[in-house]
Amino acid sequence: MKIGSVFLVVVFLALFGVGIALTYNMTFVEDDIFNQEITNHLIDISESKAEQIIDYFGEREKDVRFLVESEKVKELFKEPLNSKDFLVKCLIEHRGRIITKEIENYLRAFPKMTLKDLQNSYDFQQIAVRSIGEEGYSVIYRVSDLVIYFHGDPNMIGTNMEDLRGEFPEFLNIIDRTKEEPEVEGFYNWKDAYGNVRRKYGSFGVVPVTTADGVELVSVTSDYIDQYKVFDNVSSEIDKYLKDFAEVSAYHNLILISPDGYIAYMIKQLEGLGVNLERGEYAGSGLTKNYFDMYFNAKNIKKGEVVFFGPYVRYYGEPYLKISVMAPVYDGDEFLGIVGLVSDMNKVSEITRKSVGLGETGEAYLINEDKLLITKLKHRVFDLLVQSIKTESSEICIGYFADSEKSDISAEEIHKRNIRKGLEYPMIPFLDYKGDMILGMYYPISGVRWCLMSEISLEEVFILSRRGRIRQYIIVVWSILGILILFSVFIQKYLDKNFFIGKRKIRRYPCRRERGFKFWYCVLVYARYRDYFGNYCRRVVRAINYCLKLKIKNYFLFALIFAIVYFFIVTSFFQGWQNAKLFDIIPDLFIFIVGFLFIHYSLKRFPGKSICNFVFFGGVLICLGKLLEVPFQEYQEMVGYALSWVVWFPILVVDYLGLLFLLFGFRGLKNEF
Amino acid sequence: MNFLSILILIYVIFSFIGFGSLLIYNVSYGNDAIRVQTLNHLKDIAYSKADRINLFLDERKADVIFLAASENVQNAFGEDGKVTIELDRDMRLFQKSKGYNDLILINTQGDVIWVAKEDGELGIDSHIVSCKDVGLVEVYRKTKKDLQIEVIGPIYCDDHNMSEIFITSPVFDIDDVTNKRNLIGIVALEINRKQIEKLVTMGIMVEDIGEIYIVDSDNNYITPLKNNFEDSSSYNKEAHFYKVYSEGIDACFEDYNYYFERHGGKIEGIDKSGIYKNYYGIPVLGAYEYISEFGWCVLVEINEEEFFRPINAENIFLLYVFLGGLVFIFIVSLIIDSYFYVKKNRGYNL
Repeated sequence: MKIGSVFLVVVFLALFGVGIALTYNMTFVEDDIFNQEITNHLIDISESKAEQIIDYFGEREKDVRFLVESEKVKELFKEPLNSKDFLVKCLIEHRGRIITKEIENYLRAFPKMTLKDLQNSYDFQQIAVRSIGEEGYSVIYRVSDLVIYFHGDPNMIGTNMEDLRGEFPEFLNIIDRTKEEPEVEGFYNWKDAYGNVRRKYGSFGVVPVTTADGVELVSVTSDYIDQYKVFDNVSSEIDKYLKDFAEVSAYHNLILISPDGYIAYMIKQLEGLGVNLERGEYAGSGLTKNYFDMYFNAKNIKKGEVVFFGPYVRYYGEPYLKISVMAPVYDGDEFLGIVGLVSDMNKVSEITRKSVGLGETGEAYLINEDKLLITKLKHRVFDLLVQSIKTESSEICIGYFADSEKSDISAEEIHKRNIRKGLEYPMIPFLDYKGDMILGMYYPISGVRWCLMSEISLEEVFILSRRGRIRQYIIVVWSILGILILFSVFIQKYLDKNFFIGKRKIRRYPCRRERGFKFWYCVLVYARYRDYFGNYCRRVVRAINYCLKLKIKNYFLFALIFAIVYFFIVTSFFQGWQNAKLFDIIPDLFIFIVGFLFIHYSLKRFPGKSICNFVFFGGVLICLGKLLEVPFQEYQEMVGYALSWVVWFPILVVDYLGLLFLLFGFRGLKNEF
Repeated sequence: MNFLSILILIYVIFSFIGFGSLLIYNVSYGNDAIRVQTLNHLKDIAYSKADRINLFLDERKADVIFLAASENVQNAFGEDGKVTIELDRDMRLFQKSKGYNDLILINTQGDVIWVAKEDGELGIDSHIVSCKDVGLVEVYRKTKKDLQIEVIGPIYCDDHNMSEIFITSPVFDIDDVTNKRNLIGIVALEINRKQIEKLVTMGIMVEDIGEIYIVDSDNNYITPLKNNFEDSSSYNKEAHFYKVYSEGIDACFEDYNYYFERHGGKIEGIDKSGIYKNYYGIPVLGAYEYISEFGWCVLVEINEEEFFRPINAENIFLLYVFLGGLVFIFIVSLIIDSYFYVKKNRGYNL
C-alpha cells in the first residue's frame, strides 16, 4: 500500500469534515443565534413602543384624575343648566345642510322619480324624514303651494302651511325668504304635540334639483331650543383655566357631561354641545353618536375609576382618530357628572410610525379589540376603523385581554411572562398584507385594549444582511481547504517517494494458554504472580479479559452501553428524564469509549513491557475524567453559572494526566521499533 | 518513521488548521454579523429610551407651562401676593395627582414662598440647608439667568446624596400696553428620580445580561448602576465616587458636541455604538444616545463575554466533535499500526 494514498484519503476526509462543519456552523448554528437576536430585537422594539404608548395614556389618566378632584371643575358642575339659542342653531343648521344635500344626491341618482314615486319610496323617506333628538325632526314641503309632502306624523301630510300664517307669522316669514335665498334659518314659536307653544329653531334648505315631474322641494330641519342645555354661567376664570389646561397638553377638547346626560360644557364649542345623551335618539346619529357611546361607556364606572373610549371618527377625512379618557366627578358621595378629555391620536401615531429598529420596510401599527386598524400603515392606504387585521398574531394578542380578565394579571404581564418562558418561540415568518414574508411581534396595551403590531421584513433583516456574509464565508473556507488539499498532494508525492508500508507479524501473547480457566480462579492466580503494581492492575483486567474471552468489539459494546446508561442516568438526574438531552455530551461519550479501547489496546500489546502500563493508566484516567466531568457539567448547566475552577481543576488534572500517560506510553512503544 | 506517528502528525496538523479556520472565520464573520445586529439592537433600545424620556419631559413641560400661565399663580407673585386657600388646594392636588415630589414657588428675591410639601423649605433664601436646598438655589440661579423653561439636576450635594430633578419655568407679568414681560417669580416642579429610573428599564430580552443607565455631562451617574464600580479597574479615586468613566460615555458627549458644533444639532450619521470597556472595566457591547433636553446620555450595555457565551458554546461543541474525531483517528491509527509498519523507502515500492 502506498503511504501517500493513505495520507491523501485521511487528509481529504479531515478537510472535508472541517469544511462541512464550518459551513454547517455558519449557516445553521449561527443562523439560529442570529435569528434569535433579530427576534429579541423585535421584541424589545415592540416593548419600547408599547411602553411609550402606555406612558402617554398614563399621562392622560393623570390629567383626568386631576380634573376629577379639581375644585374648579366641581364648582362648574354645580352651575345650573340653561338653554341657549346658539346651541340648537349649531346642531340643527349643520344637520339641515346634510339632509338637504342627501335629498339632492338622491334626486340626482334617480332623476326619473316623480313626487308620487318619492312618497312611495322607503329609501327616500329614510333620508327625508328624520328624528333629531327627542322632539326635533325634518320635513319636506313643495315650494309652489307650501303643502307638506313628507312628515313623520302622517296627519300632517297634505297640510298647507299658508293656513298657519295667522297663528305662526314668524314661521311663514322665514318660509317666504326661501323664495329668494336657497338657505334660510330662524327662530319662531311653534305648538308642540301637547299643544304648548314653545320656541323653536328651523333650518330651511331649497333642494337645487327638481323631481321628474318638475316639483321644487324645501327641506326643513327643526327642534325646540329648550332641548339643549349648558352650564348657565361659566366664569371666564374657570373657562380660561380649563382651556389652558387642555391647550398645553394639546387636547382636542374637554367635555363635561351633567348627571342627567347634557353635554354641558366644551372648551371648543362643537356639534353636540347641549344635547342630552340620555335620549336614545343620539345613539344612531352620526355627529353625536360618539358622545352618546362615550357617555354610556363612562356612565356606569365607579368613583375613582377612569375609562378610555375610542378611537372614533368625528367625521370622514379627519387626519387623526380621536380618543377620550373619562371619569366620574363626585363631591363626597354626590355624583356631579362626567369629565372627558378628547385627544387626537397624532402622538400615538407618531410613536408607531417612528421606524426605529424596523428598517426601511418594517412598520408598527395599532389594532383595537375588534382587530380593526387604528393607525395608518406605512406602505398602503387603508381606512382606519374599517380594515380588519386578522392574523395569528392579532388573535393571540387580543386573546390576552380575555386571559387577563380570568387571571387578574395584566395582559402586558402575561405577554412578558410568556416571552420569558419562551412560549412565543419560535416566531414563524408569515405573509403580511403586501404579500411579503415578514417576522411579526405584538404587544398588548391593556388600558385601551389595543395591540401594537410590529413587523419587519424578512428579506431586509435576514437575507440581505446575511446572504453576502455567508457567501463570502463559504468561499473563503473552501478556498483555504482547497489550497490545503493541493498542498497535501505534494506531501503525498514525498511520502510515496520516501516510505513504504509493510505488514507486521502478529505476535502471540503468552497468556493465551490460560484460556479456559474458571473465571475468578483465573483472575486471582494470574494476578498473584505479577511483580509490581502497574502490571498487577493491568493483568487483573487482562485476566478478566481473557477469562471472559473479550475481543475489541466486546470492549467497544460494553463501553458504549455503559457510557450511554451512565450518561443517561446523570443527565436524567439533573435535567429530569423527560428533558434529558444526551446530544451535548456525545463527545464525552466517545472519549470515554476511546479511553476504554486504550485499556484494551494496552492489554493486547507487548504484555511484558512496563511501558504498556502508561497506556493502560492513560485509558483509565481518561475514562475516569469523563465519568467525573459529566455530572459536574450537568450540575453547572442546571445552576446556570460557571463553577469554581477549584471544582474543575482536579478533573482537568485527571484528564491531562491521562493524556500524558498515553503520550509516554506511545513514545515508549515507538522506541520499540 | 513510524506510520502511527505520521498519522498522528497529519491529523494533528489538519485538526489545528481546521480549528484555526473555525476560530478565525467564526469570529470575523459569524460573530461579526451577530455583533453588528446586536449593536443595532442596543442602539435602538438607547434611542427608544431617550425618546421615552423626551416624551416624559414634554409632559412635564406642559405641566409647568400650565402653572406658569395660571392667573392664580401669577397673583401669588403680585405686590400683595399671597397664596390663597383655593390656589394652595389646587396646587397640592396638581402635585399629588401628577405624581410630583414637590411643587415650589420662588419669588424674584429667591425666597421660597410656597411649597406643596411642608418640610422646612418655606422661607429659605440661599442658605444651604439640605440637598434639596442645593437644588433650589440652582433652580433660582439658572432660571433667573436664562428666563426659560429649564431642566435642572440632579445635583450632588455631597459624596452620598443628590437632589431630585427640577423642571422650572419663569412666571411673567406681561404688560398689556407694551407687551413687555416682567419676571415675577419662578415655579418649579420636583420630579422623583425613581420616575426616570422606571423609564429606562432594560428590554425583556436583554434584561439579564444587560445594563442601562444614565450619565450626565459631568460623568455623574443619574440612575443606579448594576455593579459596584468602586471595585472596578477604571475607578478613579481622585475623582468623586459618583463619577463614572468609560469610552462609551466619552464618545456619547464628544459625538454630540462634535456634530452639534458643525451641523447645528444634527447628530445623525454617528454610529453611537461599539465595543469598549465599561465603567467596571468589563468589555461590553454598548450603545448610547444623547438626550439634549437634559444634557444626559443613556447607555445600554451588555457583557460581551456573557452575550457570546451561547455562541461560543456552539463552537465548543464543534471543538468536542473535532477532538472526538482526533481521538477516533488516533485509535484507528493504532489498530492499523498493529498490522502494518512504515519503513524508509530504499529504492523500491511495495
